[in-house]
Amino acid sequence: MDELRATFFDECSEYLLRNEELLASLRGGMGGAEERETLDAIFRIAHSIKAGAAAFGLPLLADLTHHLEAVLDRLRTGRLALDEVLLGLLLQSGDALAAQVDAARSGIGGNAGSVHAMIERLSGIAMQEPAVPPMPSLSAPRTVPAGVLRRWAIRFRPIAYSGGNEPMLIIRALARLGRLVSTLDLTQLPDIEQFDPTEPVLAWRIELETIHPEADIREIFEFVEDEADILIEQVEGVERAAAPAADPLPVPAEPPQRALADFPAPPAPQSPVHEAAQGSGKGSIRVDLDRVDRLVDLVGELIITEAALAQVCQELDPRAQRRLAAVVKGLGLHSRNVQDAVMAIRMQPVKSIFARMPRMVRDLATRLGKNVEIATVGEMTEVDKTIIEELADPLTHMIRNALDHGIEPPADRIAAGKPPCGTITLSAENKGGRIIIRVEDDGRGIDRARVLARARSLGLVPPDAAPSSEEVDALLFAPGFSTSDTVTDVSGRGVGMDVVQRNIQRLGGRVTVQSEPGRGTGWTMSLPLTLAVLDGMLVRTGGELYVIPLANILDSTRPKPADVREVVGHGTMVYLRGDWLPLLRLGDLFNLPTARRAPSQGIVVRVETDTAGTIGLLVDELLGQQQVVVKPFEQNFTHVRGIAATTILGNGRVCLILDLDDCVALSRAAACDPRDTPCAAGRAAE
Amino acid sequence: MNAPTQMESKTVMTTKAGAAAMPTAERTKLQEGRPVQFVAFKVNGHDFAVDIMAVQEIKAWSDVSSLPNMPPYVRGVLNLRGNIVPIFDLRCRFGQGLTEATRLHVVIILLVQGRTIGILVDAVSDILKASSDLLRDLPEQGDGRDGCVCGLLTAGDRMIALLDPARLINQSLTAIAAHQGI
Repeated sequence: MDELRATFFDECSEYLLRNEELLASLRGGMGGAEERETLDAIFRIAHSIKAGAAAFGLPLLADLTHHLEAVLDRLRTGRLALDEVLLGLLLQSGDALAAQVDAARSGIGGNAGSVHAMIERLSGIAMQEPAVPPMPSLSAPRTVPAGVLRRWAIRFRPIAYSGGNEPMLIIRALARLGRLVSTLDLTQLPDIEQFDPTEPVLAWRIELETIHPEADIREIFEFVEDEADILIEQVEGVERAAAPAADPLPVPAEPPQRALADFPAPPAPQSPVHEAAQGSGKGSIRVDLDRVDRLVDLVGELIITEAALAQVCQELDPRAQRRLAAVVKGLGLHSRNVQDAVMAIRMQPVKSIFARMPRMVRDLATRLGKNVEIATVGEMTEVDKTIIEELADPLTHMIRNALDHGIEPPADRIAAGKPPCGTITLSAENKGGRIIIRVEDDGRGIDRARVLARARSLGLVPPDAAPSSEEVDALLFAPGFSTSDTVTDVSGRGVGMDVVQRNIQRLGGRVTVQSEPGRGTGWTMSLPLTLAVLDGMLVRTGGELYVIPLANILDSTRPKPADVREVVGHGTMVYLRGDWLPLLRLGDLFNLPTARRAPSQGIVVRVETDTAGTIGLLVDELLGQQQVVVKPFEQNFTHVRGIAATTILGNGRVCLILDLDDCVALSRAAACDPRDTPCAAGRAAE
Repeated sequence: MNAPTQMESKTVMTTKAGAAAMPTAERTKLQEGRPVQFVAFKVNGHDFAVDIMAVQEIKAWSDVSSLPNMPPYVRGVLNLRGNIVPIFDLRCRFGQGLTEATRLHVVIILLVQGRTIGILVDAVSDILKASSDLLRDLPEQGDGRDGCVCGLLTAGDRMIALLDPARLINQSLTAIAAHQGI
C-alpha cells in the first residue's frame, strides 16, 4: 500500500507539472477545438488526482479536486468563459493542489484553511451562470454525432480494487450513451474457503446500443484501464441509421445519481492531440530509479569484465587468441550496445525542467511590474536524469537574474526603442557529446561600470586595475558578489552566480556569460550528457595510472629541452603550438617521487581548464584512449584534491580520474604557501 | 611482522548486510549485560577487537591504488566488487610505522555510518564472545592518536583494545581534511 501511495504521489507531481504546462499554453490563447482539448486534458488530470485522493483517504485533496473539476467541466462545456482572472485562479488552485499533495506525502497536515478558501472560490465560480454569452471559442455547442446506431459487446472485469473505482459508476456512465443490458458474470467466483476479499472476482458482460463512437465508450473506461480487463467489440449486423432528430440519449432506467453529475461528459470526437497524448503514454512503465542505477552498475561491471577478458585473450597462444578475439570483439560490441541502451533509460528531455520556468517568470514579472515572455527552444533535448535534477536550481537562478537585472521596466524599454515586453529565451541543444543550455534576455545587458565599481568597493579588483570587458563579466562569478543595494527575495543576496558556477563545475560543466550593453545578456552552460561514463585518456606517472577526461585534452607532445623555461614567479613554462603555457607536473602535484621531472623525457598533454585556460600537464607516458565507467568514491571516503572520481580498469584495479581545475587550484595553493602545501606536508609526515 | 596465529588469514567471512548496518557506535557502548561477539585481530603484536556486527567481510591483502596527498596511513583504494573502498593502515594510524603488507596480511572490511572502509591488520586471531561485564569503556580523548579505541576487553590473561570504527573514520576524515587544506 505504501508503494502504491508513493506511486500516486509521483504521479501527482507529474500531473501537476503537466497541468501547469497546459495552463501556460492556454494563456497563449488558442481557442476552438485546441482549447477544448487542453481543457479536457486538464480535467482528466484533476479527475485522476481526485480518484487517487479518494482511494488513499485524502478527503481534503479529493474535495479540492472535486470543486476544481466542477469549474473545469463548466469551462469545457462552454458554460463558463476563460479569462485572465479564471486562469489565475486555476494556476493558484494548481499550487494549492501541489501544497496539499506535498503535505499528504510528507504526512504533515497541510494548511486546511487555505484549501477551504480555495474550495470556496472555486465553488463560487462554479455557481456563476454566464452573464454574457460565452466566448465563441468556447461556446461550440456539444453536437451529438448524428451517426449510425451500433451495438457493442463489452466485457469488463476489474483486476484490482486499489484504485477505488466503483464498477457501478462506470455502468451508469455507459447507460447514458445508449440502451444498455448488463449481465453479471459470476463464473470466477471461488469457493468460500479460497475467497480473498482483496481480489476482485466479479465481471460484467454489457451490451450497449449507441450512436456514439468507440472512443466515447473507451473514454469511460479511461481511468480504470490499468485495473481491469476490458474488451470492447462491435457486434456486426445491427447498424441502422438513427434519426438525428430522435433523442440521442435515451433516459437511463434510473436517473443518474449525484456522483455522476461530475463524471466526464462524452467529449467531441477525439482530436489528434488527444491521441498523441495517449500514444506517448502507451507502453511506458514506472521504474524505481534505484533499479535503473543498479542496472547501470551491473553494465559497468560487465564492461570491466569484458576488458579483463580481452586482456586474458592477449596472453593466449596465437591460434587460440585469434579464435577468442573474434568472440571477445562481438561481446564488446554487444556490451557497448547494452550500455547505450541502459544509458538511454536514464535520459530525459529537459522539458521537465523547462516546463517549470514559464510559471516562475509570470509570477516574478508580475511582482516586479515587468512585462516578460519566455520562449523555449529544444525542450526535447535529452540528458541524463542525474544532470536534470542538478539543473533546476542553476536555471532558476539564472532566469531570476535575467528578470531582475536584465529586463528593464516597460517604460525604460519603450524609451530605449524596444518593445515593452521583454523576452527571455531558454534553449537546449546537443553539441559534441555535451548539452548546451542558454538563458538569453533582450534586456539592458551587464552594467560593467557598476559591476566594476562594486567589485572595487568589495576589494575584488585593485583600484588602479583596468580589467577588460570579459574580466568584468567574470566578476559576476566571484563569491558574494551582488550589485543590488537592497536585498530582495528575487535576487541580490550575493548567493548567486558563484554558487551556480560551482554547481555546474561539479557536474563537469562550465558557465560563461556574454553581454552587449543595451542588447541583452546570455548565459551559456555546457554540460556532459551523463555522469556515468566518460571518455578518457589513460596516462602513467610515477608508477600510478590516471585518467584525464578527453573533453579537456587538446593534444600531446614531447617538447624539446629548448622549449622549456623556468620563469621566476611563474614556475615552468613550456612552448607548445606557438604559445608559452604554464607547465603542471602531475608527479610534483601528487608527490610521486619516481615521476619524470624533465618535460623532454615525458609527455606534455595540452589541456583546457576553466580556471587557468590552456596549460601543459606533464605525465610519464600515454597509455591510450578508453571509455571508462565513472565510480564515485566520496560516499565511502572524502573528497581528494585533484581527483574527480574513480574508475575500475580491466585488471580490476582502481584508477583515479583527474579533476584538472582542482589540480590547478592545488598547484596554486602549493605555489602560494610552500610551507603548507599538501606535497610538503605529505613528505613531512613520511 | 606477525604470522597469522589461530585463523587462516584468507578466510572470507560475511555477516548479514542488514545486521552490519546497525549503528556500531551505539552498540559498542554496551550498557546491558548481554553477550557481544568481536573479531579479534593483531596489529604489530598488539591485540585489538572490533564488534562483529560492523564487519562485512575479511579478505587477504591485495595491492591498492594510492590516493594523492594523503596521510601515510591511508593506503589507497580497493575495488571490492565495484565498490571503491578506502584502506586504512592501522599500525601506521597508531604511529608505529607502515605495515609492510604481503598476501598474508588481512583487510577487514567494515560498514560504519553508511561507509564501507577497510582496515589493514596483521592477522585475524579469534572470534570472541564476551559479556559486557568484562568491558571497560574508555572515553574519547580529544585528538589522541589512539583515540579510536573505545574500550578494553579482558579475555583470559589478555587485555584487548576495542576499536570504535566510527571514531576511526571520523577522526581520520577530520585529519585528512586539515591535511588537504579544505
